[in-house]
Amino acid sequence: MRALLRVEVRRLLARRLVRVVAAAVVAGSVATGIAVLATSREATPAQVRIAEAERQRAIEQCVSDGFNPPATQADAADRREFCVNEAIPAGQITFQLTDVLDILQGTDGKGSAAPLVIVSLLLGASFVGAEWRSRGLHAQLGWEPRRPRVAATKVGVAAAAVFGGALLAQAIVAVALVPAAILRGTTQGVDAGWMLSVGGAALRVALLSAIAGATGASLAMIGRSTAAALGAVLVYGLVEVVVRGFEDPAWLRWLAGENGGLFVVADPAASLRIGRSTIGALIVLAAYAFAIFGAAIASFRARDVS
Amino acid sequence: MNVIEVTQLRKEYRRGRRRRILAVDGLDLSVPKGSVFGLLGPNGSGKTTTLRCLIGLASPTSGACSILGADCGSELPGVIRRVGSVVEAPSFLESFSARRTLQLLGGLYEIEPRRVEDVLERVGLAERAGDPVRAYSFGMRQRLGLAAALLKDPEVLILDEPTNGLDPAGIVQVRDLLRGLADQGCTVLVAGHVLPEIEQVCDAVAILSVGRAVASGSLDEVRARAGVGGLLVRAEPLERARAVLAAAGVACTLGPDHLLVRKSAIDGANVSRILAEAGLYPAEIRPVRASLEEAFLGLTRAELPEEVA
Repeated sequence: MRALLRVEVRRLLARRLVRVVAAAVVAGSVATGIAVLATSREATPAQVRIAEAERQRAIEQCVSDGFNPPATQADAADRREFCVNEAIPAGQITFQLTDVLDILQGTDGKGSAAPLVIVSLLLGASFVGAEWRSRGLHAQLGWEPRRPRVAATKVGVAAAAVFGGALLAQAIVAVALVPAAILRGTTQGVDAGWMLSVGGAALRVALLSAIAGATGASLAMIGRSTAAALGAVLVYGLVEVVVRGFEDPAWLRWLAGENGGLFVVADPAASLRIGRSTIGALIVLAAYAFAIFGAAIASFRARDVS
Repeated sequence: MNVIEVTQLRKEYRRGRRRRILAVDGLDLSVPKGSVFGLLGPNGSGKTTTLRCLIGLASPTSGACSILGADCGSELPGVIRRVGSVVEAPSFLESFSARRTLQLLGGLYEIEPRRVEDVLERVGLAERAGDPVRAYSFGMRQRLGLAAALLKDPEVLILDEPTNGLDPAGIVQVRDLLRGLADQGCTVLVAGHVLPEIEQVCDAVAILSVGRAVASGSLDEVRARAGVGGLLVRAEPLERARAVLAAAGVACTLGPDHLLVRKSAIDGANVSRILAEAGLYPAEIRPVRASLEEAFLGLTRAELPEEVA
């Protein structure tokens, strides 16, 4: 079993797609670090105070809008919330290293979590799908005919590799931003508590990536191609979009995307919205992944390899 | 001792809900130790399906097969280390080199890197071992498949059309390789339809047609079973000799300068006696050995539906 595991790790690391993705992550992170460094400027405490005062003035103007003033106190509260969060968002005076937490956790396309999970799914699907496409799996079964063992190793290696890769990618992103914070920004607020939060967030993103990688690999094992796996994910994505449209918490709490988002941000407000804890979200996601993995093993064991 | 045993093997493929294709229909096969055994048959006769059942890529619908005494359905992992195989066109990850491909496969049994270099040398791929598989010709891929099968130093070698795509030198090389392996005690089961190749290398063959073995045994036995070949008879006048034999109930065909008596019809001594009694003294009576190709065509045509044959 150890030999099989070792061979699968070597096979995965030797794949061109893995190398391309790794190079893209490093290049992207370095480019982001350089861009942030180039566009950031140092700000004195006085400049920060002036900017904050300007923002407060703009918020007050927004709330008291002369053409359409709020009629009641409740209206005014709603208006203030809108102005603070939507109309006059906090302007970045200077780059703060503490923003790394938001960058890692962002699941709305602005952070690294969603891309990492998607890439993990793709890598997992491609790792197994390419073996089917090239028929390399046929040759391998001539050496190791215990199919459940072969399938479990491949899925396990895909999950472990993307877990490690996601952790490493997040570390690279964080490290790439440190020069900008030190030279043109601030490291204020970086303490043990913050480090723990960042570490926890990175670990959750990596775990979610591992689940995505394992799911991609399992789907490719069932569909016997990368395209089939990605097609299945796409169809599920469409179903999720439709279900989200109903905005019914009873349905939302079972959606993989909803549980994934909750697990990454670990936000009590999000927990309340769908009535599930962060650990509960992880359990649901793991249960889905195990169900698909079980189906992959059963299918691989029962069907002829042709 | 038989190294490979196939008993009443039957394999059906489902196509859709109702349609079923019968690929192998009650096949029996025994391959003795240390022999080179040819599995012959036209396309779709069930050769590859049989091999796939043997190495566990397909499950038989019914019947059983075993290699080295291990049931191919449940006990294959126990003997797979001793079995090398290439079934259908060998395929590997296109971006990997031959060397990496073999190193990865060999890693499953912790085979030494030196052995990888040895088999690459043996199949004539050493010079291109570092190139990605995508740059290989079909013949080179075939060599790589053979290298993968040889890497385990197998006791049993199962090959599906191993000379496909090879140049004449490569064909001779593979032929010598198979013979050499058999001489060392390795049992080789080789499927194919390049009959002259099979004829030169095999000790015994089975001829498959529509999923069944229509003949099996040594090459001579199979030729005899096909009923092709016979006795070549030269006697003058040829027309009269034919008439004499026909009157005696011996069917023969007239050639340009000879008669050909069907082998199953009569033996040489009796032909000589019949002709001598009529005052005809044959100048030559000798057996004509049919080629395996003639036997193959005779046997497989007989099994096909009439309009196809």
